[in-house]
Amino acid sequence: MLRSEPKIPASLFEIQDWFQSVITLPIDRNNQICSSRSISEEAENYISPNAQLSSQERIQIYHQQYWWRLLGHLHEMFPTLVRLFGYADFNLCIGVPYLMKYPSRHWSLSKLGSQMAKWIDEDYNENDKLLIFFSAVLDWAYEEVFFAPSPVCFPPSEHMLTQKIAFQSHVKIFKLPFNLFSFRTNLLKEKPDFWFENEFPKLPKEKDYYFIIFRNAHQRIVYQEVPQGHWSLLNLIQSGKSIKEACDSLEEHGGEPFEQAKTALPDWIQEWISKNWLGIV
Amino acid sequence: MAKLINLGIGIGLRPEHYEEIFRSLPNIDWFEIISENYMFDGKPLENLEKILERYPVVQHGVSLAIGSPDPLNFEYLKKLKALARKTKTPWISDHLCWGHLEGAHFHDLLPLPYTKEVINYVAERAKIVQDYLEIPFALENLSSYAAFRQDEMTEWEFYSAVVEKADVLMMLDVNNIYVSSRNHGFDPKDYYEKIPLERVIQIHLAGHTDYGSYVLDTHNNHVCDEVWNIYKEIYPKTKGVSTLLEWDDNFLSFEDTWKEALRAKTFQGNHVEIRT
Repeated sequence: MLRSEPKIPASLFEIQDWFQSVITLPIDRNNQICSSRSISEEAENYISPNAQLSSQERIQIYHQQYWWRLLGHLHEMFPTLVRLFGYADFNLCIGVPYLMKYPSRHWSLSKLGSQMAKWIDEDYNENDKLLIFFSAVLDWAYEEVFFAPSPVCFPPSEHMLTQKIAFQSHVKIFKLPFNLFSFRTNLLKEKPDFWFENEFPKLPKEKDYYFIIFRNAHQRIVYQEVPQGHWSLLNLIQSGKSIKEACDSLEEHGGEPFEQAKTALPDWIQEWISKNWLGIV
Repeated sequence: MAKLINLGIGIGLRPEHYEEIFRSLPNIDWFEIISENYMFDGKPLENLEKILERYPVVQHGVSLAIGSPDPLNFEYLKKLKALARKTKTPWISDHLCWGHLEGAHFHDLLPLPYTKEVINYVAERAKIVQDYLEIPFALENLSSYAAFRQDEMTEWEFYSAVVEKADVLMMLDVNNIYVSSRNHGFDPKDYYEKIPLERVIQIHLAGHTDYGSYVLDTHNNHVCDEVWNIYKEIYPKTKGVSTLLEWDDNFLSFEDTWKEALRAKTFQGNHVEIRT
């Protein structure tokens, strides 16, 4: 049996509460603490100066480290967004306000960007909102696919058309109003600073685009464009329908997606199984 | 104290080196992993499984934040323990710091005030962690950039008191001693001569960045001569313990990182026997 946990000493909590209240204050373009509080006076109460640095300068090292570490992780998690904004504007317009509203609530940094698309939906109101929103969704999907459990084999059976099935978590499907996948691929060929002085790649937007991303047999994350019918069927399965129910639903609505499914369904099912997309509920 | 082997010289396992490691299968003594990077399913864990087929692996954590005010996170500890079963790590280490408060995580190794109250608080929690993990547990000294008005003692007095009161091991970071000595103006010798070196289970070496008015523990550089000299003094006094080079930014090739780690041999003298 484990011993009971000690109570936090009040004086320790007071220091920690003050410390965190300073290091999480927003950082400005010059890497300084952005606050109307008198941090210098506050720091004097808690931190000893040394021969080189004042109390405020010493706490400021932790403030910078906090922001640089977290913003650095967001840069890695959202490579498309960083290229669209550039590092400085990403930090100012996206990273800092995002972390102020959604600070990390998990011990793992891998969860840091989990609310980014939500934040953009709630708080980003520029003309390019749709592109920014879907870029965040897609960047985060790559993160989730990377950390998804290894796929397990789905055993084909005579009941597979009627049983409830689900996608394995290394598979994500997308319907987008532009071809963000080819755009993203071209964007990521260059470092963020390159796009500061160069035109962005073309963003095709002639139709709706249907994509799947997944980890392949070599554990690489890949994407694949699929016909609307293929996406529709997968979307219905994702919503909880069996393959048969999904096909019935497609038939009800008719049109091109149903015609595509009618001819290609056996090949698609073969593909889902061979690529380990399906799992048992 | 448990009988623990000197694993030799290792380096921190980083994804930047996977390709080179899997291709050349280097003759390295052991790897240290950041536990948190492998506490989820997915590709990282698959890579670790390949490493475990060939190399001893030791777990080092960054998220325990033992001096934090929040209750210990047993969901986290459970995952840590499950990973330890997989890696068969001979010990687990984390830092003598705090890092979260009321559910918010700061992802940094934040310094604690050196007071008797804090010694009692942290030591009690370290005992709980040690009991729960059922594996030898070590606490690592920090690089720090600030000292508190409240401090009642030196860092080495505080560090020694915590590990002795909790009866846990020391993961001694030699670079951190140097960095803190520069930032707080003490002589590194005062530090390492006054800590219970018999508790040291592992040594960390790393590079740092000197900004003039302060030194930052960046792990992005070669180990400096001053740090090697401290290592040369400490190593024989530990009677030979596992030594590890951390390199976390401005990465070198695996081969060059390994060469840097192997420099440790030239400072070890003849003290490489198994430690009890």
